[in-house]
Amino acid sequence: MEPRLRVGIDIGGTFTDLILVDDRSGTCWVAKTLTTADDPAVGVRRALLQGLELAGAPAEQIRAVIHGTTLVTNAIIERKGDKTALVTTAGFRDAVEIAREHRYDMYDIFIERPKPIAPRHLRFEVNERLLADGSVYRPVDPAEVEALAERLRRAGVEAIAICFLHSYRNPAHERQVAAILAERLPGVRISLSSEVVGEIREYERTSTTLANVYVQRIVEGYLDRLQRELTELGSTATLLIMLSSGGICTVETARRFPVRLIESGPAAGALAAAYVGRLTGRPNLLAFDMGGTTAKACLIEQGRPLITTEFEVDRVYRFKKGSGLPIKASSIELIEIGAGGGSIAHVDQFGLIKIGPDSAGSQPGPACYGLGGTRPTVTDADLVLGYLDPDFFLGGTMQISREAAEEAIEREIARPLGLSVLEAAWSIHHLVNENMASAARIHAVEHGKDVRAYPLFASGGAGPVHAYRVAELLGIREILCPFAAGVGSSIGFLAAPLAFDFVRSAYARLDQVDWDTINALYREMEDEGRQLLAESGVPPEQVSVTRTADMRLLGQAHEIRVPIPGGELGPQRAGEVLRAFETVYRDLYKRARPGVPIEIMSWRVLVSGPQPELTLRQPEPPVGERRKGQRPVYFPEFGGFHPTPVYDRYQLRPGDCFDGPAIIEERESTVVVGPRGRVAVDQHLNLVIRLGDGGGSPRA
Amino acid sequence: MAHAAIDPLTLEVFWSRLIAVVNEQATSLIWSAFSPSVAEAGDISACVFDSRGYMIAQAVTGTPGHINSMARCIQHCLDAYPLETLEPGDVLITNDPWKTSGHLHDVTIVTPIFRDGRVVAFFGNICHLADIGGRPFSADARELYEEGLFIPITKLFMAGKPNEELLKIIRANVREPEAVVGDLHAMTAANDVGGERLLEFMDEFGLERIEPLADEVISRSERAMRDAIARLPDGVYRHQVTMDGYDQPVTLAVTVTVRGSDLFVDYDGTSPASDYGINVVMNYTEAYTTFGIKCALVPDVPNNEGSFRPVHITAPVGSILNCQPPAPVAGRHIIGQWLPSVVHGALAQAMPDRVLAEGSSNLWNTQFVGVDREGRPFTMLFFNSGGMGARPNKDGLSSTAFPSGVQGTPAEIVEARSPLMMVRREFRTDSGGPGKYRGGLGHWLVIRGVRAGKPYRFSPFFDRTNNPARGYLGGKSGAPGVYELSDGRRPNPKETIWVDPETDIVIGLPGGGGFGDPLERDPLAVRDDVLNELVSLERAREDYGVVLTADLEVDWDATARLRAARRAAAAGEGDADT
Repeated sequence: MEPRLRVGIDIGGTFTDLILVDDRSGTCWVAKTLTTADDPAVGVRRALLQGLELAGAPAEQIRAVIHGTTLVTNAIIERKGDKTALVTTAGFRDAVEIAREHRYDMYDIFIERPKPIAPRHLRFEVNERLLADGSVYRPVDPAEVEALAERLRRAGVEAIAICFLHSYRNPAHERQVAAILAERLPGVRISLSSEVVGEIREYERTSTTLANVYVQRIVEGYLDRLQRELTELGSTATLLIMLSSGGICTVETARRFPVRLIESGPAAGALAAAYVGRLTGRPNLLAFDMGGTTAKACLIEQGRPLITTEFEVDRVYRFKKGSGLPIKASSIELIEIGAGGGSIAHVDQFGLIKIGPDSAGSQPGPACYGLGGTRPTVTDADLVLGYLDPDFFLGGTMQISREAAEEAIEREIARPLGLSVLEAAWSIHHLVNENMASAARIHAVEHGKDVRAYPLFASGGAGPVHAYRVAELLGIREILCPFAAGVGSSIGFLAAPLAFDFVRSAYARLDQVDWDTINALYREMEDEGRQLLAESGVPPEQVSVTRTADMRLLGQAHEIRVPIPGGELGPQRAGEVLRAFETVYRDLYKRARPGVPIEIMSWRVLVSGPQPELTLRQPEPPVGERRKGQRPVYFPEFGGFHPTPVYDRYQLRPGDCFDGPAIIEERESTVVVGPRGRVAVDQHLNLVIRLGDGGGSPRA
Repeated sequence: MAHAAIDPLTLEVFWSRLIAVVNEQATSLIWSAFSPSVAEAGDISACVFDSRGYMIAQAVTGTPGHINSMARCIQHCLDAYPLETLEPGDVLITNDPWKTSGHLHDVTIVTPIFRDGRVVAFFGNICHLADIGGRPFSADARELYEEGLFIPITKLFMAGKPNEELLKIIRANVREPEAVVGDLHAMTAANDVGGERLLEFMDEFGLERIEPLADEVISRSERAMRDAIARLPDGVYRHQVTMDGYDQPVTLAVTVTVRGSDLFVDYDGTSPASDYGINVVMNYTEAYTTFGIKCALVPDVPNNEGSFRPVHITAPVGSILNCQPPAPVAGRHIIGQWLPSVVHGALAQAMPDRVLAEGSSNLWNTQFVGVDREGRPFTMLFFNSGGMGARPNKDGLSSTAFPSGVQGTPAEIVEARSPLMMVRREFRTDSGGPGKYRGGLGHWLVIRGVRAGKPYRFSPFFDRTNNPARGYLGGKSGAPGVYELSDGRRPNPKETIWVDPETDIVIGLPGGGGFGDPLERDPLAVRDDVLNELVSLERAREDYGVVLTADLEVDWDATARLRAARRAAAAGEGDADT
């Protein structure tokens, strides 16, 4: 029998989530185990055994395992990678530290800059030089490189990043030097900037290449163990890895370019939102995920998450933008702010309440956990307001204390400000919502979008608790809460097509492009993509190719991504490219482009397989009571606590419909619906909450 | 919803929203502007004012020279066009150096926002435009008239219609008309975005006016600033620095008087205005003075009318810090950007744990104009920064702009967009001033016009070649800047020169001063600096009294002996260095 199961696995900081789908019936099973930090493959094995048992299927039934991990991010943050050296063009070993000569905070004179992965004494130079057009100004001297190999060997280097100026234009020097070093330094991993990220701007390219080679050994070892676990379980399934961009790649690619996996966890979350959006006819969504320490927001457009080409990892100073290492790699574009359930509330020097960015995390945790935390957090406020049930936290597996929450809020917020505990708790709840709404609004405007047009997709432990008010603040009229939000992101693994991204920089003005060169670049990238897809078993007729280019007006600093037509390009088709640019420009900036020449920085290709079919069904249909009780819950519309019905998420059925105010509880989260909300359960068991003037007008 | 007295929750919500509004305004500008000096360097600012012209909130971006200057500009706009003369769709423009941010390249756009036929707020932003006519951007002019087109406060739009007569004049005067006029439109659109969001906000909360909110924000900021000032011991604190100047040294002298919750900054004793374009208008003097005070006293307090009120700044009329028309001003940042460290020098006597040692201070702008081998014209402007001064508890940041907030430009972008080649961009060993906390390092920057067709013009904006950044509390000076050519010339660091394509321009950016006695620096930190070649073996011994073994481990006994001997010798000489 043909294997029929596909498995998505997400390794998070606390839990390893797994979802298993029978592609014939659409039935899905979920499993959750504690993450085994020392050897994550062990936790994966446990989760897999649990899932297979639920499904009643042997491991041979698994067709594919798709996996995302925070391993790369953690290895960089904790600086657990290899002893890594950098080799640069003569005169530029400090480009990676001089960076952009910039302070990311205007007034704070105590800021810190991110530390490059290779310290200065492990940064070496080669006396070679290319010019901006890729021509050779000074060739590589092999004797010099051989001497360098000896110095690297003596320094005990385990990994090397080679980053020469203008290698995005001509990789020959990097390759030549790599060949010599590889021969003399067997076992040492080498990454070339022209291969990891062939894009202009030396600081960002170097930072990315260093991060890549720094974690390579760890990722290789981990992927090998994971593959072995699968084999030992008797599975011959293909192991595939999720990229930060939401694409999927082979283990081989993941081993070569681990830096492309940094945001693979959040990417799956965004894909889950995109999937549910497509399923329910909502191609545009604002995915809003709120966990313990941070909240993330991500726009889904036309069924796809927005993609960025650069982001930061390891922010070293108060989570501030600019204090992290830049990574140039395609990634789901998201905005992340220090506002989670564990974010600590305090009164600042003006007598105003501030939330975060400090977080109580899980250790010592919010005051209500009783694990040693004494400072008031967002979760404490949510508990005091009646949004959380102290007896049904994590499905009742963990007891939390309302008294401890009240005490902390009283001591640190209410008393200093002369507020009641309730007023203080509402202030905390409300302010964190304001912060998240502001961040989401900025995120949208950075893309020229009006956030009000996007239904809110709520996930994460705290997301559904806050979604209603965040939507209200943003002027959003509809909220979507998926079933089993706790494993929501692992669904994303199964909803993504197999896809490979490529990019080449070749700067040109649109009126001066050398189209033969560009045709060759595109051919090279597309052939590579098709070959990789073929190796992963995708038939050639199911491959689709999407070309884009990063273009801008001469003198502009920000490029925009413009679709490029397929087929052979030439001067006679420059008009098509020009019109495509003008369309995108007008969409973004609401006005015609000024009469300035257009320039092209990079050329991109996405080669992807077919969109997988996925329809989910619960293994067991609900049979019990929908409504499990009633409790007093704080809604300012009623001027205080209001007796509010509490629903059991697992007993709701398609077609169910009721008005707010309401509380809907599931094991990993609680959905809070205010008085203006009306809840409907759709055929896929999503809660669809509409905010209107009708439905639940105040009755107090 | 009425707000007799605004409660803390409502205030925080409103305030956050106002900041979100100006951030949105700024973001819109950054993403649609296309002058490289605006967008690549992030050199813009954006803020909102109430109908009285009080600044309430500014975007998280922005450079100090812009933002505080704009706070003053709005009053000048109101003088020129009182409220009753403005109608919906009007947009004001000016680059009057004395009324806004100090040179003609910075253009300010101000838009009144109407609600029910009444002005409820103003939005303003400033950009450094690609060109403003006159000489190429340089400090060489002897009069303002040489520096480009002067636009007094006037209307860019009248009731929604562009002022085509004015635009015609602008287009005819600048080198890159499309980019310049394009940016003017982007600036106007950014204010519209801010205005639209503000009106939505007012509708949402049923606010008729924002003045009550402004009063609350302003009075809280003022209170926080006054509290911080009141914590300083009353007294008179004097400080003085000497700069290279254009043709002769410039003295910047300051007297800071703390009296209760007011702080008086007076620049009496400062040199008279220069004959060349390095003069500073009073607005810009106030801007960088306030900035320095805010960094030291209340970095978290938002910049607004309230935080300015307790600070009283004066400078002699006709001095280089309060120059009068038609003094040339294009390179005003060279002087103005020193002011935070001048003020910190005085404040260090009252609050040594909250100030930086002197740093490289002004941006080292490099402007190039010429033709490439194919005869095509090129211009290239980028910003370079030396080391920041050491902090009371941390080393200074190397090669980092302070007080300016702009960014550098990648070598690959410079080379892709001009015939120039960056030969070297590498830290200058031993350039950071020794101290318990070391000053930031400057770097070597070597430029060659490798594909220039013939000699090109180079305009530098350099200082600190004769006057290094001084350390504080026993910290030593950073290395002074270096500027020379491979053909043997050592030109004036502020004068435009012609350079042959094969000649190297060699620039050594200055290092920052150290903080505290270098003999107290952790020997392991010195060892790390030597290992990383930030400090040489010789200087480790000479400046820090740290002895390292052949394999670069600390020789603890020898270090203790050497340091004891150094201290004894210093005690004998008395406190020589400050």
